[in-house]
Amino acid sequence: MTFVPPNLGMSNHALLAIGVLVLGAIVVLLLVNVISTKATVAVGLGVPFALVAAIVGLQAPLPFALAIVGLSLVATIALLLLPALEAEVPAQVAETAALLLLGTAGAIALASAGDLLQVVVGLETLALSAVTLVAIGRGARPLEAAFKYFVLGAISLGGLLYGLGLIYLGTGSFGFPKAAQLSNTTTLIGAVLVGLGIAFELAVFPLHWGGLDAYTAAAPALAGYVMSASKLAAAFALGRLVLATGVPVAQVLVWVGAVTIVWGTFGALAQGRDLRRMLGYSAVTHAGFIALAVGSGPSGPITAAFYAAVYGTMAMLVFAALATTPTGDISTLGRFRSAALALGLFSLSGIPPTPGFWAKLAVLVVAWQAAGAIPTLIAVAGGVFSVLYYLRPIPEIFAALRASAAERLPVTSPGIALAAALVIILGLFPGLAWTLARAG
Amino acid sequence: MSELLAWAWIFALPGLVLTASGIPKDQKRAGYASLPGPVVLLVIAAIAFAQGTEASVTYLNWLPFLADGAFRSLADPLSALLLAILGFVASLVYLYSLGYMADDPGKRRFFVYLDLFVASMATLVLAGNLAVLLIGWTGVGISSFLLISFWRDKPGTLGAGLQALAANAIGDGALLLAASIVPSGCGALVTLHTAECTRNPGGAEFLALLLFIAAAAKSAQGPLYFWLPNAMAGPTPISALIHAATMVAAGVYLLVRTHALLALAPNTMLAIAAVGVATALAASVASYFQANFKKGIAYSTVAQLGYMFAAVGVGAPFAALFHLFTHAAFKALLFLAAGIVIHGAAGREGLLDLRGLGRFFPYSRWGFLIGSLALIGMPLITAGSYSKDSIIEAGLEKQPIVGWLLLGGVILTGLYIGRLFSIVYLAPANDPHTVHRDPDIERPMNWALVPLMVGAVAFGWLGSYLVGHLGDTAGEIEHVPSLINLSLPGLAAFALGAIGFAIAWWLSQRAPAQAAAPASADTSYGAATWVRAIADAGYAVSSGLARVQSGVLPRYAFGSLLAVAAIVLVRVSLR
Repeated sequence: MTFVPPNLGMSNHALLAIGVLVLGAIVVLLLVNVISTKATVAVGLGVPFALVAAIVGLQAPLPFALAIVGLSLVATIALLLLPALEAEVPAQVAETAALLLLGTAGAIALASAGDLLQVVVGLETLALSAVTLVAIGRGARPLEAAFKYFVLGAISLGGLLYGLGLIYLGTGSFGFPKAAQLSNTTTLIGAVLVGLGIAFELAVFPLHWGGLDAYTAAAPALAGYVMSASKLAAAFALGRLVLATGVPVAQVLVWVGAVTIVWGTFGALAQGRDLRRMLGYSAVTHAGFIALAVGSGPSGPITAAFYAAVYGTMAMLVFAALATTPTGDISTLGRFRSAALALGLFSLSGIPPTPGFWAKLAVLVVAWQAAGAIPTLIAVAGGVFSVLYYLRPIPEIFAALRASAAERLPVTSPGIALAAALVIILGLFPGLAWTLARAG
Repeated sequence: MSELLAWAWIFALPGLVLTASGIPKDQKRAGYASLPGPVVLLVIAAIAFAQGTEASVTYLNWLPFLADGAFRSLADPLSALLLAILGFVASLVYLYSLGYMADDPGKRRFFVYLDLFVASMATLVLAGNLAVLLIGWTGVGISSFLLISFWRDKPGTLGAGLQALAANAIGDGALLLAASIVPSGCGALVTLHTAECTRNPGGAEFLALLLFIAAAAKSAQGPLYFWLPNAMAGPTPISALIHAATMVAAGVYLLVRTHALLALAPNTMLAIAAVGVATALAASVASYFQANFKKGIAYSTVAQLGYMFAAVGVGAPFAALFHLFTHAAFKALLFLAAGIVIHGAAGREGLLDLRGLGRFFPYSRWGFLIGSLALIGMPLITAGSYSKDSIIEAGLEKQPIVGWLLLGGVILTGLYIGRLFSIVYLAPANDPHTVHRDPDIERPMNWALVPLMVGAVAFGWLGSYLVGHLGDTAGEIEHVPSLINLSLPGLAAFALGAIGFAIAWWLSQRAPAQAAAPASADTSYGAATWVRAIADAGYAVSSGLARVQSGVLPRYAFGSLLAVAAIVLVRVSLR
């Protein structure tokens, strides 16, 4: 008798990667405190599973290869940053490692979901892990932010489930609704509600409130993961939805994206010297670019996925550099972390030849073709004026490079090095990420 | 040599890496590792230009999402000329900086930024398509920002840097849009004018307009002039290299490079000419009322770039390029000469403080005199006369109004440069004891002036040589500048300039204090009132929006629900 895998509409590679990551989470939880409570053990146990998932992802069908590889690498970097948490919350390092692996499994499920029920399951696994990760951290602020993020996430889930119900009512199935089925108003409302429910994970305006506070308050070693993983997974799921439904949902995302870019840009401009808050608003602006791209025609979803993957690497780099400084105080960073932070900020700002620039350019190309002139112009303006807030701290960072002659490498340096390597490689060869998403 | 030159963006990188990693170790010799870069660039570019060959580097499918996603680098005579100018001025500025920055603790970082600039500028000039152009275009803007904000303790430097970033962002945006909208397969700069590439809605006019906006931001033209005078907050060698000779000329270069596209866009051409003339005249007037020595010269740069834009606008790209070439030498000369005085006066830049101090620095005094004469265009013996006359004559021929206005503008040129020269170099010194002189530090600065003096005289004689080597890369060249340039418009222009110079001298004798510090002017680097107003409005909106993020959970929840309901309603009602 041969084993026939059940047809879930999800690729077998995605299922395998999810299995590997869940197994990893179990292994970490069971073994880490038995062997030793040190963070390095959690890292040593968790990273192999994440890397195996990444290797599995390389074989996956396009474009899901990009999702699985990207999410697994984001998780790898996040795991490598765990030693930074040892000083803050020594008791919870093992749980954190397990949550990172579990959240990534949920993110892969969301990204490669074959129908709307899988979307809900994946999204909730990811969202609950993310909320818990935000709550881990010293003091009351992370807890408060996590609570708000949780409540707003629950409300958003309510909307998503309601939309799911409407779609079932209209079409009689939990599959992604087809364009022809949207002539039914019930199905249309359902599709828009589902789209907005997934967009909550992107943190687009007007659903960004909880995300923004959570990004600001979370421990820096974890904030980058929460931002990157949820955006990358949500970009894929939204892409799937838009490819099925076509223009009616795409238009909503285009305009939500354009408004989000405006909101995030102005919000970031007001932050002055508060680097953590500025990076929170930056995550909102980038979410706007992703939403705009998803809605931009047939090539839009691929471009959005590319953008989200690039965003993931550069956000991980910035937060890897900041991982050991909870307050975001850049004057105490040494030479190595300052250089990494500067590279990350350049990339977030879209200075060529960093990957952030290529991703932005790719979005503008599809936006001009499909979304129209006004959203494109908004994106151009939001993109170019971002230098005013990203580069503001740069003179200070570079001037500080000379001050610190001899320094010990931080405990997070493997994570920083991996993130920096990814950013540099994607900057020089942006086509590499592209080949994981699309043939030719 | 062209094959090698196509890789010229790499030349400054070894110096960058060495200097950044602290080689050589001795702080006194910091920056030595960077010195060979621009010299190599100069030599190879000059040889390649003389050979007149062409080479390109192409990697297809580098950026699969772009209309033209290849990496294209093109070393033709036009880029070779620009790279030679870059190498020439940069070599001298590096040498000069060894003296100027000798005692600065951030000297190493300064040279790293300089290398970054040279590499970016070389990328910009070598760019064969819009994608590569964007790398260089943004790169020079970032280096400019880093160097303007170099002295973080000096008040206003970060603000001045952010002004430059903001103005550059507008130009970058225009270029970014241009790269995003060109039809599939287009993007190579030399083929932008083909029917294939101009079939977008808006056609050639829209594409040309975007390039014009990008160029205007980089070259401080029209309302986008505002950042350049305040960019003088950076160290003086930077003002000479980036904010006078090379980077700000990149806008002119881009328009010359894409002249074939501009020829298809008569309305944009008219706009370029109009903006160029208006900027030339307005900036000349503004220069006269500056109380800060460097800002006075900076407005002169804005005005001269206006002459070049006007030349492009009337359809004489070669005249613009020729003036770019001579201007690089004589404007760098003016700045570096001014820097010697400023360095001797411990960094003070106010004309009242510097009054009469120039007479203690003979190299600086001669250099500034030669530079001034080139600026107003003394015939036969200064380079400026050849190139400026080319522009004025082209203007008189093709758009007489433009020609007459540019000709009349020379009297303003004479007035402002005469005023600066009279106050700093001719007037009796207020307080000679404030001058500090150190021959060891001054030596490299003085040496750097000599080749520039030669250039400010001799570059004008190279007109027909340039014509012979450029081929058609700078458009069809109708008038080859002759060696004996005693045309009527040229002589009239010089006469006007000389009259202006004399009037300025006379005025500065009569009322020295008012001449040095006009009541309306200050010496700081604050933003212009209208720029300030826009920035304030932007920050008011920003902090208003940021306050909505109140941290109050019920408001968040209510806001989300309301917004979702609104989106669903709009979606359903608009179907």
